[in-house]
Amino acid sequence: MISWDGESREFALIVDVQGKVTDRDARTAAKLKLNPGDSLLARAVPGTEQKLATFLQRARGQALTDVELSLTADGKAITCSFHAKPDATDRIALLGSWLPEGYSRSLRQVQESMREVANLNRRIVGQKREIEAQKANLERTLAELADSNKGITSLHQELEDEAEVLQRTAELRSRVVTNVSHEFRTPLNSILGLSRLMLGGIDGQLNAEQHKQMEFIRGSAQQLTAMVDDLLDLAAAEAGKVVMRLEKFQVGDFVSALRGTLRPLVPAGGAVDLVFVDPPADLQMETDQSKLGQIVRNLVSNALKFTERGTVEVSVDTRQDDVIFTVHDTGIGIAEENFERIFEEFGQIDGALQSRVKGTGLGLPLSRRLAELLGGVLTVESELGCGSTFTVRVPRVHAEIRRG
Amino acid sequence: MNRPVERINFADLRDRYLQQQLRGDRRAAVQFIETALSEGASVDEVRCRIVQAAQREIGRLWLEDRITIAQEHMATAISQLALAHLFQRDEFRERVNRKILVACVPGEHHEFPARLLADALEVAGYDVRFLGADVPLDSLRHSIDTERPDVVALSITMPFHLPALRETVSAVCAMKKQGMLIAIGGGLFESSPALSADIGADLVATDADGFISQLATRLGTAA
Repeated sequence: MISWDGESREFALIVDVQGKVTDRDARTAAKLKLNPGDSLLARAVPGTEQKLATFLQRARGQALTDVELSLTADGKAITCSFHAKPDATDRIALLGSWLPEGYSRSLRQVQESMREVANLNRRIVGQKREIEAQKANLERTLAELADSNKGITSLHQELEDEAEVLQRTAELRSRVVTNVSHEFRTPLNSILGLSRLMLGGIDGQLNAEQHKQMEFIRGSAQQLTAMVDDLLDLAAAEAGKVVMRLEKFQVGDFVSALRGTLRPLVPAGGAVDLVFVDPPADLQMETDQSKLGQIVRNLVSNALKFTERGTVEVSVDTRQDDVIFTVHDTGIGIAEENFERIFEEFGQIDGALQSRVKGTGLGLPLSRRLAELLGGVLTVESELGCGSTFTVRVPRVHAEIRRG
Repeated sequence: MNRPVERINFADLRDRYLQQQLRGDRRAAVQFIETALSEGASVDEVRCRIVQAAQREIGRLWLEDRITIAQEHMATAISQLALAHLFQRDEFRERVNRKILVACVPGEHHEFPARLLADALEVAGYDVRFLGADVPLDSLRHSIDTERPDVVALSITMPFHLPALRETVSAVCAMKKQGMLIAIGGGLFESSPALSADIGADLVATDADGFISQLATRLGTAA
């Protein structure tokens, strides 16, 4: 005979009216550890005592089915379903069954899965919130960017308009300057020629006062002519209408010629020395000699104007394929904030000496443009009160020759 | 003393929600929650005064032998769904840089109140780790070591689990984590406050709201 005692979930016991066990089967003893004399009421899980007491009381008068009760055994809670039947001797027969182990295990599994799903759900909701916050941020940034973009576009348009106006103005100015300068030349030549005639006494001698006045007229006309020449050169350089006359020459010869032309500009009295340092022997250049001469003459004549005593020194050096002409003076110097201003047209600096010195205000801008036409640069270094050094650095051989 | 007239009859709402639960109609239950929200109840009110109140009623109905364990499980599953729904509908407050570990003591299978607390804490801005029902002591110790929470909150529902709670609290105390608070909570401390007296917890609460306000005071995170 096969025994199912170990597998069965059902158990039976009999209790008296006080709930004391009077009889029980083997499974009741094994699983619930209930034995005759034990109180069933004492085994109610705390908090459920009332349910058990009510159950026993009702069972005295009637049969009950499927009442769930929680009992403790070995410190564990076991929930069982009970049928109850009172008998003639006021005792109650109980038939109980506990939940199958597998069923409880499955229920636990379901509960744990549910917890994990719930945890996952909370995480996803959290992430969703985060994403929504970031999205709102992004949208705000995007709107700001779109605004800036609009601003930049309109600014760009304004700049383009402005540039166009500037270009038109520059072209117009250049044309006006060229035309006007040409128109100036004819009357200037008349003034120069006639004043020379009058000073020569051909149409009768002038008295001393008249002679002095005529000298002024001639001086002013000469100054005006120089200015018109500079203006024309500058306008031509800016319009790109300069013709290059490239030739091979010895730098030594070039410097000698300069010395000859510039010597007369040194003021009498010996307070200022004009010094030409001998250039490296056999140094040859191939570029526009007259433009280079114009630059260096300009620099030296400026240096002489702004130096009351000391020296103006012209030196030549080479670096790589470039030739460097340096004009150094011990004059009044230039403040750093004015380094760029002196290269602007009519950009002279205010000051006592400056206002005494005559100049067109065009020499340096023209020199810089010419240096650029030669493929080089014209720069200045100076300290106020300690003199200035102008450096023109040009390729030894002009780019057009090298390419050719 | 006159009680102020409530704008919403929560007892009635709880009963109607409970009926949906016991009928096993989860869609109707969630729909019912939506209706309560649209009628002006706050998420917090729905969570505590409808869903949690219904869950407490479920426990009472079993004690009165009016429902079975199977029905209790079904009703609880529906309330879990309701909580997930409410969590999504809630308005989160600004983040609080404090971590709270929420767990049930060993043997405690009623996870629902702990889940409700975890949700409420998360909405209040705390960083929450929810370990769930019946957490063995070793798992709890391991989580405390790895997560380094500011607070460990332990939940129980029935006096039967008081010994396990006592044991868990003293085991966590023995870990000597500097500055870490131990909190215990459950509806049973409301009816019998004396039960918590000698357990040795830093905080005792009977519901989520009370817990959060006590916590804010203790951690200095009150708004």
